[in-house]
Amino acid sequence: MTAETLGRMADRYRVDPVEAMLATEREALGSDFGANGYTTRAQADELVDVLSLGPDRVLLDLGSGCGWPGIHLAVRSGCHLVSVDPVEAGVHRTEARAAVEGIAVRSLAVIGDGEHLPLASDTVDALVHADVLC
Amino acid sequence: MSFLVIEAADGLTESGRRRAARTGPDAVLTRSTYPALLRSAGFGHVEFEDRTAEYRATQQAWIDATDRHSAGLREALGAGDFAERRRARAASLAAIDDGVLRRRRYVAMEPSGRSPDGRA
Repeated sequence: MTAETLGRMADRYRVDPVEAMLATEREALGSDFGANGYTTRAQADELVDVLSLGPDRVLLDLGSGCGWPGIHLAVRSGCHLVSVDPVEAGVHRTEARAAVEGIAVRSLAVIGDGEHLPLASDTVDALVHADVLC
Repeated sequence: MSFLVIEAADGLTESGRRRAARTGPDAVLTRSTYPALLRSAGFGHVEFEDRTAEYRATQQAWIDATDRHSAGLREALGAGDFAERRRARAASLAAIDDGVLRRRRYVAMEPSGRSPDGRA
């Protein structure tokens, strides 16, 4: 990942989400995480079944951004969550949101990317990424 | 593994691919297809569903909501950033309508049922 790409990604966190931004997101996606992609709440809910998520599973949300939809999936399914994103501000937002949702004890957010995953092999059961490859 | 991704449509002309690059997300163009990439990475079972209709509806919903909350968004983002985001979403919506951009949901498993990224 180039420094330019990373800078562009970090720029998305330049402004903390204010009510107008969250209201816009709620109407477009059904979420209020500060997301700006295209994964709706209904699409996120489908992933609980698609990935067979449950309390005995560990989910990796790669390119987790501000925590959507990984945290939502963890709340819905009871799974453990590892969120990985190259932008520190996104990781901090994810950590904060996990605490608000009461899942901090089973949620870990770390800085990293798909080329250099900060995880040992065979440590997660399922992987999700939304609007990350493009 | 499951992921949602915006792609350039199949069979685009060079100008169509340039438009996809202009109106889609940063890495919308790939040298190979996602099914081929997944298989080369060891995923034996690959399924996908076209989710372009929902992508269009969501992009339209972003635009409509952006217009409803324009005053607060302009204040938070600044007039220039607000206008650029609104313009980019409208350009993307037009590209979806013209068959340039699409969105798919992929589900991929290793032949054994194990994901290369995990235990299951």
